[in-house]
Amino acid sequence: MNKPLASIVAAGCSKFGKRTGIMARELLVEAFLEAISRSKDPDIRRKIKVGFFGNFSEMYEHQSHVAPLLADWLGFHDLPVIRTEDACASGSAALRSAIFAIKSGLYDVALVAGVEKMNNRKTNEVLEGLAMASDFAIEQWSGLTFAGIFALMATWHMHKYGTTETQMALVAVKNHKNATMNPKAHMQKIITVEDVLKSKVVAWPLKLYDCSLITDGAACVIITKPEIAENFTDNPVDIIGSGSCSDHESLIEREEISEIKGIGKATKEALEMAGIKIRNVDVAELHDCFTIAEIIEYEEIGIAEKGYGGKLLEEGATNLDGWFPVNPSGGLKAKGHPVGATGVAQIYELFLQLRGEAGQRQVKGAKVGLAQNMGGSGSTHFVHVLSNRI
Amino acid sequence: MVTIEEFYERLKEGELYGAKCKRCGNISLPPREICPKCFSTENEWYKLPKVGEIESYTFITVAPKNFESEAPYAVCIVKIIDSVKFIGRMKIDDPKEIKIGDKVEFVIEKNGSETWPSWPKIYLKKLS
Repeated sequence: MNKPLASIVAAGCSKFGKRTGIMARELLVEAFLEAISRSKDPDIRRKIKVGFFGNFSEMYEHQSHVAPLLADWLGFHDLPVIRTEDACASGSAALRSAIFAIKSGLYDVALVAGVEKMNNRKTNEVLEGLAMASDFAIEQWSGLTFAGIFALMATWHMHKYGTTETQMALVAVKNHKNATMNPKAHMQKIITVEDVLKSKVVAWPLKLYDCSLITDGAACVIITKPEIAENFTDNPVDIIGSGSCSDHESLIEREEISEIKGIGKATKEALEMAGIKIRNVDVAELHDCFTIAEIIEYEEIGIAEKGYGGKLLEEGATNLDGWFPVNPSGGLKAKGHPVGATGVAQIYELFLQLRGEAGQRQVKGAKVGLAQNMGGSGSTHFVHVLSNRI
Repeated sequence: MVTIEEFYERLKEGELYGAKCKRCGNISLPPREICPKCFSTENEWYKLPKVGEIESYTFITVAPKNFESEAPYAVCIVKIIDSVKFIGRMKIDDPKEIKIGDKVEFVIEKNGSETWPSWPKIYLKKLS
């Protein structure tokens, strides 16, 4: 295992859900107070010298220029701040930017935050806002939603490999079950394959229960250069790999529409940087924005051959007690998907898992975790590999 | 320079054009100045057939705000030639009405919008 890029010394996450009456900035306060309460240095707030804020849409709160505003609400009035926007990967873009800041030697302690407040708007307005992360000139112009774009991948995956609606439903069943053990999850409700199959069609072949949730939430982590991590916690989690790439924004320009090749490329980069193989990963948080996405991700990160992602679910391989547990938090599917917060919330979950603090959903003995987060239909990609020091 | 606006102007006149790279022959759709395969900026408009076959499709019942009045509808990725694909909307009532491999034709409808963009609407018709 190679030398860490940076270390996570604290992490916090707001309750996810429909948070009526709470604005984005206040959600982030909730996450931030939890994070600093985890530090053994009561003065950690003053050690933070730069902040990166992942946030997707100005539309939901009619608010752009959020970085100084969010910093202000966290009590910072003279901090260098940068907002990152890569659609659903905005939070991971903030994390990777913070790694650059630490690794460059410019800063020793950085704040990474992600937040989205989505439930102020009606569903059709939220969908319109999300669709803005696809190519306006082609995809939006055709009336596609994000469910529609992933449905196009699903239709082709079913046709080419025989993947079934039942296999997709198993992703939802698994992640909903995990979320019942996560008190911060948006939904705590066991569902069955039949519930998924009988739910309302949103964009055939995807149904309501194949889709992630419209969620309000925030998450944050504090990262430091590895050498000083133990000033803040006895149990830091190291970031040992970081991979990222882009792809065509528009699905029609990709040669093979049911492959999201950027996931594979970013995973390879992150694992090589970490000096490990995918089989060394004990727990993963994958970007299950739609059930088909998690199946494609199995194939891209290399735990299933192309076309065999659905089979892993039938075997229970990615269940909490399987050989490769995926989305113990409940994932975007059931923990919820506050777009700008999602990438950071994945890191929060791995922080708990690798410190043995994940309660009922703890993956026993987890040492290495992988977080995979993507923007849009897979045109921005981030994969991070984390390890504890035990 | 090849532009999206001119692409849609040409489509409004009923013709579908991509940008063909004069160096490597790659056809970009939507057209763009820099060839995504070889980085060349030597290109020319290249007329494409307005027919193709469905590579994949979805049937959208929950539409974005601007398309709610048309829902439900199908959106299909249409393979025109080799790696050149385009996308269109089809008014159907049930996803069972179409399947991968079906031959379809693009049908262009002018859009009376006075504000940008006044790009035409792109529909698909199944060819028997």
